Formats: sequence, structure tokens, C-alpha cells
Amino acid sequence: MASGSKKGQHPRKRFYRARAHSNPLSDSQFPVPVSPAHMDWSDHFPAFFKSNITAAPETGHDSEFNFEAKYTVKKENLNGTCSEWSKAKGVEGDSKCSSASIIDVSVRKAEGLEICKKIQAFGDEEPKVHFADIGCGFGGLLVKLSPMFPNTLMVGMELRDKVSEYVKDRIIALRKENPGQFQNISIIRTNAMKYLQNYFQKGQLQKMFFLFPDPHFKERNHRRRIISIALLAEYAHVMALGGILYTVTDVEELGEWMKSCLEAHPLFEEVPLKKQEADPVVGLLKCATEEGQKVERNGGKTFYSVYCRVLASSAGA
Amino acid sequence: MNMEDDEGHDGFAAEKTVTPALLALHPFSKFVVVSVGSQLRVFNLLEKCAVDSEDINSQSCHVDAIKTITFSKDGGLFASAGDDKHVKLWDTDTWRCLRTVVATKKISASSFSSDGKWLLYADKFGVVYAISTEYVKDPLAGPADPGQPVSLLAHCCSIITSLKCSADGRYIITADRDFKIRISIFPKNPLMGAHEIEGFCLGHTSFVSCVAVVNNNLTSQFLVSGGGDGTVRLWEVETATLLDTVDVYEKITIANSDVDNTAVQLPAITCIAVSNNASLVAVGLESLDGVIILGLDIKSKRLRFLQKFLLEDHYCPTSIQFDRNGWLWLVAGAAQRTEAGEEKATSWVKVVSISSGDAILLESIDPASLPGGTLLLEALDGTDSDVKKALALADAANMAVKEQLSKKKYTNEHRELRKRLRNDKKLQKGM
Repeated sequence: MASGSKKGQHPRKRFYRARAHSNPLSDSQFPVPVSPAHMDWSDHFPAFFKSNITAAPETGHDSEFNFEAKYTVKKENLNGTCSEWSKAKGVEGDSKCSSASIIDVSVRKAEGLEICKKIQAFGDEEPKVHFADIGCGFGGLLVKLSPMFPNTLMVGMELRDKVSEYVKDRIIALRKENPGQFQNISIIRTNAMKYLQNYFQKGQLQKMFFLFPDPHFKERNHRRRIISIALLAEYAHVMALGGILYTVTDVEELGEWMKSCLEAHPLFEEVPLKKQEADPVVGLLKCATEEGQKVERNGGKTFYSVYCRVLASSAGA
Repeated sequence: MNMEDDEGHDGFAAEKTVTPALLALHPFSKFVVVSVGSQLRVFNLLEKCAVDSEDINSQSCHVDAIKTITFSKDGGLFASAGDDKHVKLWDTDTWRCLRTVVATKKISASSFSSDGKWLLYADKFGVVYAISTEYVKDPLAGPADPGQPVSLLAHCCSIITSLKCSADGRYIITADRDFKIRISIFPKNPLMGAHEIEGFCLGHTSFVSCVAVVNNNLTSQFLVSGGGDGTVRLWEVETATLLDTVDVYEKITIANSDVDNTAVQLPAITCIAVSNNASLVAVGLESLDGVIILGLDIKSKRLRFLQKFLLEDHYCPTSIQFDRNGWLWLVAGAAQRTEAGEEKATSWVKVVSISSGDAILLESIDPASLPGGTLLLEALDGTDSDVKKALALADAANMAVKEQLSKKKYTNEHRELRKRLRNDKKLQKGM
């Protein structure tokens, strides 16, 4: 049995290869929540949502399977013709679940406690996503960030369906391998240029990442660039005051473009160099993602900018 | 829009040929303007005569369908724009064209700022531009530097269906085909762009077809919107919160069972208007030969269905507006462009009086008792107007607009079917 996307194992990239570009301007064919209130994050971060641990202390581990099971159910809904297969898969998942539960009872209990602690930390307020990696690709940055900010929910947004499937499988595998970890990262297949406001409320995000975006060299394609003066207004809307927006690219022209857009925007201000150096996240920009590693291997240059969401200066407004 | 990516969209062909007629009333009821295709028909309600359309349409007329017409708040200026990418600013005293701005894309919506100093217009790529109107008003104020249009804000490549400025001048309201209405803060200096977003009104489950601002003296601002999902929604502007929703289609199917409720796609709201006293909302619904009247209660923040008012058979309005007396002006009509480039423009204007006593009473006004009487209708409908044709075209035009704004829907099965050969899917199957 090929194991590229076998349940709970690390997915193999070769089965998820996709074209490097996807047109962000075309009409989307995936479901988008009507508004942030309609978005159900508990599928994505079961460990952080109360309902999953109220039943019994053991359910801590099962929550991981809920994540998977829900996806399986969704797949089943999506694909009527393959329902037989889905059912079979569901059964397989169940058996695994029970075997796993025999082995990891102690681990699971510890994890359950850990999750209880997490929930206590949140109180009654529903946990919210605070970091967004726009165009997360194969999810390298999320995986690096997850242990650095274990109590912060972060989500990757990727337009290419196959790539987002890869990240989903990767997160499932990571959660399974490292019980209690990687519960705070997830992935959505969506078009952030169009639908960011459907997922996040005003001022919700503390960090936004735009790592190695499509350069779109041709002038007539500049409107497809992920950073532009017009779109920055929408990013500023979902970002909290003091939130930080990171961009990095290996294309000098694009680096300059992104910097000039941010510089011209009244709601963003460059983070002073000293502060940038002190920020552990800045170091990750270059090396955390698959794209960044490729650039590093080839000895390419990178150009990054780190900007802070500020109140509009009176001159600009 | 994404025409190059979306060859299969037959809406664009239809859009090219049929354009709905539009109607605009002067804020003090001095003029009424109807645009059909590339023609502007202006009638002076005070002097009860048509403004010489020869003059208007000869000097610098539009050469393609007009998609948006609007008066400034003080009535001193008028703007028209559309598919020929020309934005024209008119002086309403003389009906001379003061300025023509050549845009790069087709124009879909426009509005004057509430202080009348700026004309905003939106193009089909979702960009909103502003041009100053000040120099044209006062030619003595130094050298006339018209200034180039500046881009204020942009929706990411989505056709902007409606553009309004809130009555208090604090906000720019833009609605698009991606189901949303954006509330942006009107900048102190529009030359620098409008970068601050107050909020997004999210709730429609299809394109937002029309928006109307509610005039009131309260501190809060309100707006109503109609969508391709057949609902009318009431919003508070400052907080972008949804206050109330009326599913118009559902209401009329209950009220009248002969409407086919097995329709696959819900009929879209085509036009919307709010009365000046902010108590009534009139709504046109696709293929409904009449208007729907909703009651608006600003204090309790509620909308409620009042009445469906049927007009002549097949009279589906393409544009409606209330005047100061509470009369509702309607136009049903469209222009059709033949392949040879010849334009056939027909329209039919009607006026309905609404008396809101104990019960809402609607009544079509006899043409003879209109200001200007039959002259008015002759001027606005054109001389060679064929009533039946106008009505058929009006409905077709409403459909064409809907066709253009709707997104293609695929079922989950269809989507999965297309993915079935993918490597990652094959693998799972083999398991």
C-alpha cells in the first residue's frame, strides 16, 4: 500500500505537486463562510475548544481523531461515488484509534490535563486565531511557529487545493506523532485576497505572514500581487493595532514593491531595526519555509520587510 | 473581471446586448432623468418641458450603454458614466457637459460625496476613483486645473455593483459581487486614498445587487441592501452589523402561491429605494411585475414586509426612486444593441403614489395628473417606444445583470469528479 497520504503518516510531496501559480482573481469554487461568526474553528483546533473535552478525560487524544473524522465525513459528503471507500476508511480509523488508546493511555492522560490547562487559560471566551500565514505553501513556517507559540492559534491559507491537502495531512501526521503538540496550527483552502474578512473579525490578527509570494512580473499582472496598496487596507482591517506584518521574497523587484506599498500606506509603519533583530520570528522568515530553504541552498538573496499596524497619522488620513 | 479566465461565462454576451434603463430624480424634484442605453432623457419638472435632448446628446454624448446616473446632494451637478468608459459631469442649470473623464475600464457605479466636492466612480475591476468637482463649479477660483482622478480604494477584482456615500459624509459604501458591502471611512484628503475600513457588511449569500442609504437625523447611519439571494437587509453603517433581514421571495411565495417555488435559482432583487422620511423601502424583484413595499422602523431597527403591489402585466421595473412627496417613480426598459451597433432603446416610466395612513395604499398615477402630463412620458419614454417590447427587454436586462453577477455553481459531486484523477486522490483510493 502506498503511504503518501496514508492516515496519520507524513504525506509525500510528490503526490501533491501543483502548478506554482494559481489565479487569485478567478471565481472561487470552494465554500467560504458568510462571516467570521459562521466559521467553525473547532474542527481545526479541537484541543482548544471545550466541547471536545467535556465528555471524558480520555477524549483528549480522540480530539485528534475528531479532526480527522470530520474531514473524512466531509470527504464522504463531497464524494458520493466513493462513499464505500470512505466508510471502509472510517472503520480503519476507528480500529487504529482503539489500538492507539491502549498504547498511549498515560500519554493521553497527560495530554488531557494539558488541554484542560489550556482551556482554563482561555476561560469562557472562545479561542481565536491570531496568526495567519497567507499563501502558506507546504506549511514550513506554521510547523516552526507552532512550538514557539504553543498557546496561539495560527492558520495557513493556501489557494492551491493539492498543496493545502498536503499541509492538512502533514498536520494530522504531526499531531499523531507528537501527542499534545501542533494542536494550534491548521490550514484553510481559500483565497485570502478576496475572503480574508469572511474569516477574521476586525483587529483579530496579531501577525500576518507573506512569505515568498508570487512575483507576477508583468505589469498587467501586478493587480494579482498579494501586497498592494488596496489590499493592505483589508489586511490593516483584520489586524490588531501593534500587529506585525512580515513579508519576504527572493525577488528584488517584488521586495521593493512590497516595501514601497507598505511605506506608502498610512496604517503601516516599519518596525525599527533593533526591534526586528530582537524578534525571533524574523529569523524564521528566511529559513522556515520550503521556498526559503530552496533560496538558501542556491545562495540567493532575500529581501524582507517587517511593518507594524498603527493608527492613521493625521496627515495621511 | 476575470473574462480571460472564464470563457464559459455566457453572461458577458448577454450583458453586451441588453442594458437596463435607469432613473434619477433631482433632490428637489426639479428634473427627472432616464437613461436608456447611451441616451440621456431629461425632463424639467418645474417648467414642465423636456430639456432639449438634442443638445445633450449631440455635444458629447455617450457612445455606449450608460450604467450609472446620479445627482449631487444639492442638485447642482449630475454625473453619468458607463460602458464607454467616459465619466461625464453635467451642470444641471444649463445641462452642459462640464467635463469628461476618460477612464481605463468600464464604469459600474458612481456617487457624489455628500458635500458635493468629489465625484466617486467605480470601475469593473473594483477600483473606486475620485475626481474633484470644485473647479468646475467656480471657474473664477484660479487656474482651472481639473486634476486627474485618484484611486481611493479597491475591491479585489470584483465588480462593484453599488457605490454610495453615507448621508453624514463620513463613509463610502461599496457593494460587490463577492457578497459583501464595504464601509470605508471617507478620507479627509481623498487625494491620499481611503485606506481605513470601518467594517464589512457580511450576510448576503449571493452578489449584492443594490444599496440604498437611509436618510435620518439620528446619530447612527443605516443602509438597506438587496441581493441575488432574494433578501433585503438592514445594516447599521458604523458597526457594519446586520439588523434585520427580509426574505422577499419567501414572503411573496406565501402571499401568492402561483409563483414557482421550485426554481433552482432564487430571483434576485433588482432595485431598491428608501423613502425620504425613512419609513418605506420599495424593492423590485426579478420577473415580478410590480414592486414590493417594506416598512422600515429605524427606532426598533426592523424591516417588515407590507405589501406586494402589482402593476401592468410584465411590468418589471429596472430602476426605482422615491421623490420628495413620497411618490415612487419607476422605469421599466432597456436598450438592446444589435450586432451592427445599432441601438434600440425603449422604456416605460410610471409613477405610483403611496399614502401611508392606517393601511398602506398604493395607486398608479394617471399620466394626465403628472407634472407635464403626457409630455413627460413622451420625453422620457421616447417617441417610438413600443410598450410590449420595453417590458420584454426590461426583464431580459434584469436577467442579464444577474447572469453577469452570479457565480457559476458546481455541485460537490462535480468538483470531486474533476479531482478524481489527481495523484493524491488516487492514492487514497488505493488504500
